[in-house]
Amino acid sequence: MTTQILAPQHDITRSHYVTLLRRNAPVILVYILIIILALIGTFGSERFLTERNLFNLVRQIAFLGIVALGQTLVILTAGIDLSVGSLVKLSLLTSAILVDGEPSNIPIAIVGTLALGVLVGVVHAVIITQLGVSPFIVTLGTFSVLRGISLTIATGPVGRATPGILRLYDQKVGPVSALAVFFFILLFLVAAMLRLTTFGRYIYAIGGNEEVARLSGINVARVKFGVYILSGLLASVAGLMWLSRMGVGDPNAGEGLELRTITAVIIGGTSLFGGRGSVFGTLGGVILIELSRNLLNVMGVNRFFQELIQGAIIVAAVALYKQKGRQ
Amino acid sequence: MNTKKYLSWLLIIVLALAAFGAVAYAQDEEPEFTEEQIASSEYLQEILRQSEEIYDTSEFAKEGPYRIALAAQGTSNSWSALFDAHAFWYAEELGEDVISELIYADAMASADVQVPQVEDLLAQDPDALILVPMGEAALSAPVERAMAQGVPVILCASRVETDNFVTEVATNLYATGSNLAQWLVDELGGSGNVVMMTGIPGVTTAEVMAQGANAVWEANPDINVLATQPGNWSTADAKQLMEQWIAQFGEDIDGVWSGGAQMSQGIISAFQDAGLEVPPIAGGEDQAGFLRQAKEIGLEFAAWQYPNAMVTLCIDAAIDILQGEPVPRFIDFRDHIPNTDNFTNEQIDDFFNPNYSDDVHGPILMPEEKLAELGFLIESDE
Repeated sequence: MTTQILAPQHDITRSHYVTLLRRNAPVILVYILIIILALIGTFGSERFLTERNLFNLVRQIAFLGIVALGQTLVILTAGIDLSVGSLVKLSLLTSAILVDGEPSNIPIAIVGTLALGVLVGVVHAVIITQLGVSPFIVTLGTFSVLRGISLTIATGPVGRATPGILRLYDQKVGPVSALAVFFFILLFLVAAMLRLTTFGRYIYAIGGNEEVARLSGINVARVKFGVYILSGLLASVAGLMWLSRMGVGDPNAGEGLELRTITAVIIGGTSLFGGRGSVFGTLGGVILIELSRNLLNVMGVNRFFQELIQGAIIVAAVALYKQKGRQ
Repeated sequence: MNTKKYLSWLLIIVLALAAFGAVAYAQDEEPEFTEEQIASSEYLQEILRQSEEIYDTSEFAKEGPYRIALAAQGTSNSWSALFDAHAFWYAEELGEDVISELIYADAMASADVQVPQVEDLLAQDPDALILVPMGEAALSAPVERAMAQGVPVILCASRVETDNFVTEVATNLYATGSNLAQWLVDELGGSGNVVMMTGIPGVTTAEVMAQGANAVWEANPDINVLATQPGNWSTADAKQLMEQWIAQFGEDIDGVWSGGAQMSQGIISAFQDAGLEVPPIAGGEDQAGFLRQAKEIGLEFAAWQYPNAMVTLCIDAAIDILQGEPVPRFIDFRDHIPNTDNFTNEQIDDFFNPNYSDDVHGPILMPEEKLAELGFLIESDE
């Protein structure tokens, strides 16, 4: 009797693992690619596996990663946020102007910059949910509006960080960059929110099928408000981090960030149609982008090849995803 | 005796006049800035101060050969392609016993690409960093970090906001912009309508040249600036913008101030398409395509120069620094590379080389074979 019962249970467990493996195939593939690239770096260049380079690499991951976290949430609801690059730019300018080299101004600069991110998120959510305009159009519009505001404020450097903010960039927690530690804390918080809270489950539900979610009693508008506000907030946090990187407000910062975050999210296996994906997949996408860039720089590979390789990775990742969808 | 005496006096007078003329000419060559101009431009204040300073580089002195990092603009246009070609050619000329490795990074003309790239370069512990900053603000903190790491920074062709670097190789762009504007004022007899097309907003070269020009417009109230807009150093953008201005102002445009030859080409093309005579343009360059076009239509122009060959001076500066020799804080390429002053259509034949393809920015220091290898020479029909 016992063996008769155990055999089917074993089969169920095995099929569960197979299903899990299949479902997460793109993410697993991304992490395999990361391992391969790391091995190439280790054996291909003596300058890759140095403490200085690894510290630098992990810190660079934090910068793209923090904006990509917000982008993941938006894409999970089948939306998109094309304004994040412009918002990072405006947040950097705002924080630099508000700080203006005075440590006593830091609290007001943090509050002001984060409020800006929230405000942009609210504007997005209102237009998308109340006026029914598609997220692509709305955020494409705010991409230009925020960029225009930034360039109206300044076409040259403005404001100034304090020496303390500048030192933060090189601050370590053990051997790791403090900014990277901050990013990983945020990553785990967002992952926990998605997995453990009702709000997180509603995000997946809306992305899976918005109409069904609405009919199931989910307040779609409220969830979208939350998601776009979080995306704006995370972009403004990134703007504050950029201040520690650059020391001044730079109207050229953040260019192209929207595409890089979308790329990271897609590579990480999150469906552009919403409802499927995870922040750990996005983390894989971010690591892959930053690792390949760092590695190719260290190995002295032409920048055009870097673009080409990155493009090939996106196409391969999306093709794999589509292939899996058909199965 | 009297005749001899008169002749002697005559000779003295002629020599005195010649000396006076030479001094006046030399003063003409060196632009003078009013106190208001200096007070209104931080850039000008810094350039004038740095031109007087010498950096003691003994802290960076070490034995060669050297590993020099070059964070370049990248192959985003022909100017930067030739900049890179000059760099690699010159490093090869110096030999491996001087430069063992030129660690190169291509920023694709983007500050966002360049910031992490500089971090990657510094992670490789180079002996010196030659940087073509893609953003005055964006690259300030990375430059400070390089200096803090003990890597001397040589700014090449553009600058950063911080003063914490060893030396900069460029020219006084404020003077360049104002000289072009002054030429246009003189050409128009002190009064007329002009339009002003600047480079990419936020980029130092564009902003500072415009500052210099604006100071001249302010000093000449009879010059009416009809419009100022960026043409983004793009021929296509410039043509589109000029078409718009022609529709708006038509034949009222007496002259054009342009921040670069690529834009001037688009401007010329827009006037030609509209069937209008091309007015004087202040803003040509020693660029074969522009000079060819200017020669064909007999354009009246003033040109400035920003030779990509200045990277050779940047490499020389890096080596001097690593050998512990004191270097000036600001190195004006016009003092080191021949024929790099502003010029006008009257000197066009001294600069135009019909064998160069349209995208060659002179002067070129590399041998012609190198240019041919890179595809910058026009093949003969033989």
